[in-house]
Amino acid sequence: MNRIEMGRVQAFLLQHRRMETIPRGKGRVDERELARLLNDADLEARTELEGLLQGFGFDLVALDDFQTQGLAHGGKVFLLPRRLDQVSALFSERWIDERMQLKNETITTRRIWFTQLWFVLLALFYTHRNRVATEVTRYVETTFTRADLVQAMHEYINDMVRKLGQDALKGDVVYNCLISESGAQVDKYAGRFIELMVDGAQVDDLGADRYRQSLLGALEMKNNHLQGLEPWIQATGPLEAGRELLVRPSDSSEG
Amino acid sequence: MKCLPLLRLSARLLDLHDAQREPGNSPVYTQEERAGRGDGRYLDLACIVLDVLRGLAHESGNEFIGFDALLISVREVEPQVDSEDLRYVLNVLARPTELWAIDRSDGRADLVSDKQTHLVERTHYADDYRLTSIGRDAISVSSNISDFAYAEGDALKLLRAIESGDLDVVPSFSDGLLDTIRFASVELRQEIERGQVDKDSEVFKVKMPRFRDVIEKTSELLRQAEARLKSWRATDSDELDDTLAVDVYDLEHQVLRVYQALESFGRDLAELTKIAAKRRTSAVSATDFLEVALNLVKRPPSDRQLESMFRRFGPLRLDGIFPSPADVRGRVRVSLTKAEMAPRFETAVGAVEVADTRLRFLGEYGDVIRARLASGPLPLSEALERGWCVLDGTLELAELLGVYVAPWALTEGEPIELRIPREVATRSDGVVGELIYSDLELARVERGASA
Repeated sequence: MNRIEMGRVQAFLLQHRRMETIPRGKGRVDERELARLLNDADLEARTELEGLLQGFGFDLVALDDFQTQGLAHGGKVFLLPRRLDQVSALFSERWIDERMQLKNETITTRRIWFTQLWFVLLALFYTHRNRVATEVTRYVETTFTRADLVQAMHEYINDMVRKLGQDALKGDVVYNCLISESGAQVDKYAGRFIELMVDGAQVDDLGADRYRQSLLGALEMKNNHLQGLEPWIQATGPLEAGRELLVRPSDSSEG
Repeated sequence: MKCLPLLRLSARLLDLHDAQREPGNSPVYTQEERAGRGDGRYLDLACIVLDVLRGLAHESGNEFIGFDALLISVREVEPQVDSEDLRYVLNVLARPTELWAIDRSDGRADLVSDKQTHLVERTHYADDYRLTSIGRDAISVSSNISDFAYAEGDALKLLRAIESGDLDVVPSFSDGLLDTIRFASVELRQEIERGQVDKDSEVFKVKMPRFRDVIEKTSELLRQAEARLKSWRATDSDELDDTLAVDVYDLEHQVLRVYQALESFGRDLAELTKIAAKRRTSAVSATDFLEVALNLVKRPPSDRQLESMFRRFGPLRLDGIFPSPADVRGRVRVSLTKAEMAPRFETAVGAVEVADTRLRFLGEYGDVIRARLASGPLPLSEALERGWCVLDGTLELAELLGVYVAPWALTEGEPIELRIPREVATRSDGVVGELIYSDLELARVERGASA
């Protein structure tokens, strides 16, 4: 891999955050070629590229079909998960603010919808399947349709949010935003949200209105949940039930 | 897949499981007739479905597949399949049923139940399917191949096949081995990811050492198989090439691939062993993300909190804006400081002043070209013909082209237009060599013509 090729590989990875040697269907332009270049690269070039990407705030991870599911026979995938210790300056949350726009509602409203949909989606991915955040390979089981997400969101709003009493609220901005939705709004925001997640490489579009968590999304979740998401959740509002520690009987009997 | 061996194996056991007899009743077994159709219709369909799913799992790395795609694949085997029939069969295959049995493995008699009986797995939300591990077992058992613990036996079969010259079966044997290794590897990883494998667990104490053992022995067998293939090729390759339907080179490659896969599984296993050994029992239940969302309703997060979450986990990507000097060309005026603007005088004495090539070129040919333009358009070919590309004996083609690119250098007063032909011309002579070019034309704009 010469310098120019390394630049192309790097540009592709920064833009798409993943590439496969045998992509599903045709893959993206140049994907096959660049992924194979990277796969065949010597150790020195690889180390150099890894260093560069680390400077941008990413790790370079390679997985083959013996290490995860959902890859073609003999295929290999390269992923670019974010590093928590070095948040990339190349990205900005403005993208989310812009892409969640329906009409001219406020930025706060858009952010509320994004965040709420995001956690409902995570509940579909993890909570409902009894899947813990470290389970990466089960990402292939997470297929959902837009209607599934919309339904889950409706259920969440009707069964949980609407039943909250005013006295449980420390601030009513999110509450008011959710309970004032007219019915069609959830569907529209869900559409925006899914598009955004697909473009941001967090969700794979399988075609025919079927989506699922991307391998990159699952990997970032595994890498960053303990130091990133857990403390964030604790800081914004500790879970009332706390986190159960499941201890198997054998452990207690052996001491 | 043949389902009869499986049924033979389990039919009577199922009868006993479902027995209606109460203790003390007659010992005669009377429920001889089986309910249902005797035409094997749904069983046949089930076998096709399982085979199709196995093939797809092999190609796609255990992916789920949509109902419609599955129907198409099934119809390739049996064109008359009705979609409702297929749906019925899938519903049955994907539904777990609870079985009860008494387990005597550790001296006691414990009643245990098992619900892991569905052969096909369906996703919660979409109409997608794939084989469960039980389903894969069913196929393996029906064809006498079992899980990774028996890989050694499979490799031995491979070796024997090669030794006896039965080379036709080698590809299917090595494919089977590859699949076995892949599923074993992914499943082991999955178990560790679940966080339930530590150094006291069954997997760590029993399964992993056994895997290591299997890998070691299987590798050895594969080495022998490869060596055997090599010698096949070396000794009597000429006759072989004529009589065999398969290429020995291909076979060698296939065996090598299995060997490499096994080796990489071995490396993986070492790494996984390290991870598992370090881990303490820290299995936690899945986070309740709905509760997290609800907490955010109760206590709205601050913008800073949201931004930090977006940056770490949000769907962000590059907008594709890469700054380049070309973006600002012509829009930015560089302001110089006064000192820089002051004229600079050459203070060195005796330095020979070299005139700029462009100035020399214009000095030499400027007037001629202007004069020529007065009498009509000037094609590039003509300028080349007249030798206006040579300055003081050296070729200065770039300067001549410069006039064609920026004709205002010739004259400021009169507008000159540039005409570009559609065709590409070629030219070859002693001065410029081989040239492929567009025969551009310079022409003065006729003021009267447009009016």
